[in-house]
Amino acid sequence: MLIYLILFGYLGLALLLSRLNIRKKIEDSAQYYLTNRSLRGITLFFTLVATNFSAFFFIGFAGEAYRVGYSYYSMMAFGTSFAAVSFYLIGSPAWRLSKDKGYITPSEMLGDVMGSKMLTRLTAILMIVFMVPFVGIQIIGAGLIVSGLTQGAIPYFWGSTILIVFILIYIWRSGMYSVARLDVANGLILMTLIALAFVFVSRSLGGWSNIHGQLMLSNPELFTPQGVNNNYSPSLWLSFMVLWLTCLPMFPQIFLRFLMAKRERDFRYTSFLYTVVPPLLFIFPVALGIMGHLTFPGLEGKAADQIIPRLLTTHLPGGLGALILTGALAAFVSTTDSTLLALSSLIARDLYKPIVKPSMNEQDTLLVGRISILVLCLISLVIAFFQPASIFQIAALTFSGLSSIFPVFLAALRFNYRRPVSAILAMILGEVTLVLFTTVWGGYAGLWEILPMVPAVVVTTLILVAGRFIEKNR
Amino acid sequence: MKKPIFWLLAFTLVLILAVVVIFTSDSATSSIWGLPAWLIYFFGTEVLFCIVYYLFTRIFWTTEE
Repeated sequence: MLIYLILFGYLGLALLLSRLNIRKKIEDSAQYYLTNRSLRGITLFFTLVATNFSAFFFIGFAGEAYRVGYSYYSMMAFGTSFAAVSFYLIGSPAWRLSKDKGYITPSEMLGDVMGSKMLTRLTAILMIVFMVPFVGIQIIGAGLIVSGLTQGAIPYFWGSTILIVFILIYIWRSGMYSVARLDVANGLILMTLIALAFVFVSRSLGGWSNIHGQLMLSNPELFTPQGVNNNYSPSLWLSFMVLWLTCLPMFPQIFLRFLMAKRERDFRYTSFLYTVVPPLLFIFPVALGIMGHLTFPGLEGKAADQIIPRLLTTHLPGGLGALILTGALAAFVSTTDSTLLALSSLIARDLYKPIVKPSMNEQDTLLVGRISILVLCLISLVIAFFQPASIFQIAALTFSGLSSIFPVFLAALRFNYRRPVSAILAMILGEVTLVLFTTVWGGYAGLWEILPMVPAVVVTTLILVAGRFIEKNR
Repeated sequence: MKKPIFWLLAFTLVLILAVVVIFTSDSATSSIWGLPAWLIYFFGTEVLFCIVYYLFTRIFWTTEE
């Protein structure tokens, strides 16, 4: 009973909060998708963090740390901090352009700057193709969290359905206004609860020094710089740095955050906080995963991903464990709502309107956007129901696939690159390279231990450079 | 100070420092506060990066409003 109270209490409060004091009639896309570019310092920061840290932060980090050890922390913490550099490289010029020209989506900005509608469509399609499986995976994870919280009383698929309907209700009318408000609450919830989980579990196990003293003797490989089985070589670690730097700004839901800042200094302030907070925050799930070896030694494969729920169930009273696990729900909700909104903006503004009905007014475009959200929710539920194996393979490509288009944005926004044919070729061949390195050539292990996205980014960049000598700048 | 190349070098140096700290330390022989020494040194590198980035945003990232 207490668990249901916590679960539905969270959903009810979130719904109330998302609608409180929002009476504004939505008149255009800038309001619906970007809060009319009105976000300031701390709100912007929380909405960025809550959107970026998915349920994987709450559940998956600990599982990876359980398998690999503290070296996982070095890769994730530095990589995420380092990605703030791309906020300057991409985010700053994107904010200025958007302010001047009124752009809403990353693809319409790129296409308009380069003078190519085809580039707009290609970018939108690539982002949608890579992001829909990502949303599907989020919905699958959410169903598992609800099912786990209620110990199976709410079946997995019903858990997914309840959460997706919940999100649909609050983003339908007010869009990003509701999302931004809820992001602040969700960001605070997930940060507080993961810290509480760390404090309670470490106290229950006898304290920080005692735990690490025992583990250093029993599992010394967890404390090595390269991790268990030398998991992270220097070249692999560096390629992860390139991955975070290049993929993060290319997530459409993150890119939209760049455009939401009221003033550029709000965005600058947020980007600095982004270097500081993740390293402080990531220590909690990583340490929890490592502590898990004391209570649950020898977990393998996917069983390790359940280490936080297992620790909470074992070391905390039922109600408190369930309360802390709502942090995972908060992380899921705040990532999925923003992704759905971002994808609907791409569909409505960059595909439907220019291809089907160019004369459509703002209200009709918004209606198409809302219907797109509904359709995306249904597709996600179908994915969650059938869980096709291929969806996990495509979702694994999301980060790398988005990384491969980073050089095109960088060239257009920072280097005044206006060669659309070269840009289109660079994007397509970059993605082809990625697919080849991932599938035919067998991933990173065979190629100097680097991620497949590194050669893909190199190919995209080389084609852009070659374009300088072949195609005239517009 | 306002030249981009200066900051590019600063970021690269911090990145190299992080790599050196992580991949050349011998964690088996030393620990600080119950954690391997390399992790503490890494944390120091992370702090250094935050400082460099902060200075960068204050000096180089000029806002036009």
